[in-house]
Amino acid sequence: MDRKIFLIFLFFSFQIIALAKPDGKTETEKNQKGVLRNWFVEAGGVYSSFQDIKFSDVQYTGPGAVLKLGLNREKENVYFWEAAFSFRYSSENASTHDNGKTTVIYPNIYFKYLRVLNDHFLIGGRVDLFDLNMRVITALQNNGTYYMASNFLYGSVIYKRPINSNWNFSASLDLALIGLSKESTSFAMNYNQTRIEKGEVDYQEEAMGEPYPYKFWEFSHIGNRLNLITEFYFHYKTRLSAGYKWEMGHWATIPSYPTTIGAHSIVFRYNFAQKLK
Amino acid sequence: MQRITYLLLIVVTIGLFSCEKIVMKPNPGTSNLEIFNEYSKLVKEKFAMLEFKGVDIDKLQDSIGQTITDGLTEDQLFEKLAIITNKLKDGHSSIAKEDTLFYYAFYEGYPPGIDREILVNNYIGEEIAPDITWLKDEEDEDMTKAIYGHMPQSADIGYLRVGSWMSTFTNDEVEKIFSTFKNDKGLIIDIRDNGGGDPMLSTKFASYLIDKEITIGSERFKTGPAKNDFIESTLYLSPADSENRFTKEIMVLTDIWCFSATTTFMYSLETLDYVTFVGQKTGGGAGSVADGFLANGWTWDLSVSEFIDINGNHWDNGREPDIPVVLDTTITDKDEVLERALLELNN
Repeated sequence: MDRKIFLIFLFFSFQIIALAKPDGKTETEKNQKGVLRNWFVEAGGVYSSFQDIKFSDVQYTGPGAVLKLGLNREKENVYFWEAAFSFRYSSENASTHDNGKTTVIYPNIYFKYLRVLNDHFLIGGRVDLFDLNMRVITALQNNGTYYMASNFLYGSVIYKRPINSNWNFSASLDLALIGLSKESTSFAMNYNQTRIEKGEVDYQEEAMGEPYPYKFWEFSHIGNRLNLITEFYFHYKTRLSAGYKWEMGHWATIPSYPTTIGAHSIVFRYNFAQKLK
Repeated sequence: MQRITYLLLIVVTIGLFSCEKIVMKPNPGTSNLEIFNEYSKLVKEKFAMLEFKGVDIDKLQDSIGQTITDGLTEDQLFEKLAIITNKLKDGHSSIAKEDTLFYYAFYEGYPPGIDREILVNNYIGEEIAPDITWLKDEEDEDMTKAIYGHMPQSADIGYLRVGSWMSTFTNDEVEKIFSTFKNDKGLIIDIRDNGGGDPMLSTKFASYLIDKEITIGSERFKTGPAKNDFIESTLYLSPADSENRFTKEIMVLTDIWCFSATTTFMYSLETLDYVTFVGQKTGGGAGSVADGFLANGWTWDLSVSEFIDINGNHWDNGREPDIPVVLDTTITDKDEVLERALLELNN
C-alpha cells in the first residue's frame, strides 16, 4: 500500500513539474532558446560519518573517494534535467577505539528534473532510482553487514548566477519529501524491524536478510525522516566545475534510537562531451 | 566584493547546516564506569532471556557498579563485565577484548560425546568404509562439509554427519546427499560437536526430513528497550521441493556441543514421531545473536530472541536425549552412541 502511494505521488509530482510555466513565456519563445547537452564525469574525495544509536553512541568517520558519471540537458530559461550514477567508497574508523574497520560502499542512480523560475532559480524534483548505503564491519559477525536501501522523491531547488565572464556559481538543495526504505537492522537484530514486527521471520526464506526485492520496505516522509543533499559548484567556462557536496540522512526506526549518516565531498567535474542545438 | 559575498554565503551555509554532527549524539565516554554502564544497558535492553534465566540486571548493575573505580586495570574491568556475562547463563552471550574471550561455559561437567578417532577408525574412515563420501570444502581442503553414505556395519542404514553449519552447500550437493539414502530403512544423523553456524542451512537440511508443512514453535524477538518489548514470529517448516526427502526412522546423535543452529535443526524435528535423539544433553543456544562494540572497542554478543516450541518448552538450556547414552572413550573400537542408534534402527 505504501509503495502504491509513493508511486502515485511520484507520478503526479512530475506531471505538476512538467506542466509548470513559471516564467510566463510562450512555448514559441522558449523553443527559440538553445539546448545544451552534457556528458560528464565527476571525481573527488569524500569524508563520511555514521552513527547508529541502536547499537552504540560511537561515531564512525573516515575518508574515501567518489566517482560519478552522468548526463544532463538544459534548455535555456525552460528546464534542466540530469541523470547520473555515482559510486562512493570510504573507510571509517570508530571515534573512540581502533577495533574493526568499516568499509562503506554507496552506489546511487538518480534522475532530477527542474523548471526555470527566473534568471537565478530552478525548482523541481529528484528521484533516487537506486540507492544502497552498505557498510561492512570487520571484527563483527552477525552484525558485520549493514545496509540502508531507499528510493526517495526529493523537492529540488537550484540557485545560479554568473560571477564574471569565465566563472559561474550554482548552489542546490534536494530535500527528501517521501520515499520507501529498508534498513537491515532492527532494535537488536540483523533482521529488518518491519519483518520482525510483522512476525515474519522465516529461516527458509533465502533472501531474508537481503534489501531486494521490495519486501518489508517502509514508507517514510519528511516528517519522520530527514534526507538532504546540498551542492555548491563553481563552473569555469562550459567544461570544468569544482564543487562541494554535503549529504545527510537522519531517521529513527525505533524512537530515541536514531541512525545518522553524512558525507562531505569535494569534487571536480568535467563535461567530456557537449552538444548545443 | 561580489566574490567575498559568495564565499561568505558558502561558509555560512556550510557552518549552519552542513554538519550531520548537529543531530548526532556526542561520543560516549570510555572511563571504567561508563564502559560498565554501557554494557549493563545493552544487556538490559537487548538480552531476550533475562526472565527465563532469572537475571535481575538492575540489581547486578547496582552491586557490581559499586566496585567499579578508575583505579581498575583493563583486565580487572573485563572481569567485572564478565561477571554479568556469566550470570546470563547463555553460551551465545560473550564479551571479548584483544586476546581474551569470555562466555558462559555451558559444556562444563559433561563427558565427551564423540571421539573422532574411534569414529573414523571403526565406522567412516576411507580405508574401512568405501561407501562413505567425505564432501570437502572447495575453498579449504582441510574442511569437511559433510560425511555421508553407508557404514560397513549396515548397508541399509544411511549415515550423515554434519560437523558445522558454517559451510556453504549447493542445492545439488544437498540433493546428492539425500538421494544416497533413498532406499534405506533408516538414517543416522550425527550432529555431535556441531556448535552451529547458519540457521538457514540447518533448516534446509531439516526440510528434507518432512513431507508436509509443520509448525515448530515461535521465536520471540526483542524489538525495543523496554522489558516487555517482544514480538513473536511463529516458525514453520516447509518440506524441501525434492524427491529425495527422507521420512523413515531417523536417529539423531547429540551431545553437549550441539548448540545454536544445531538446536535450530533439532527443534525443527522435535514434533516428528519418527525422529529420536540419542546421546547426551545438548547445549541449547536457541536464541538469535547480535554483536557490536563497546565504546572502548571490546566486542559483545547477546542473545536477542528466545525460542519456545509448540509444547511451551524453552530450548535455550538444551534438550535431554530420548535415549541417553554415554560414550566410553577407553573402548577404542566402539562408539556406544552410534551403536545404540544402529541397534534401534535394526530392531
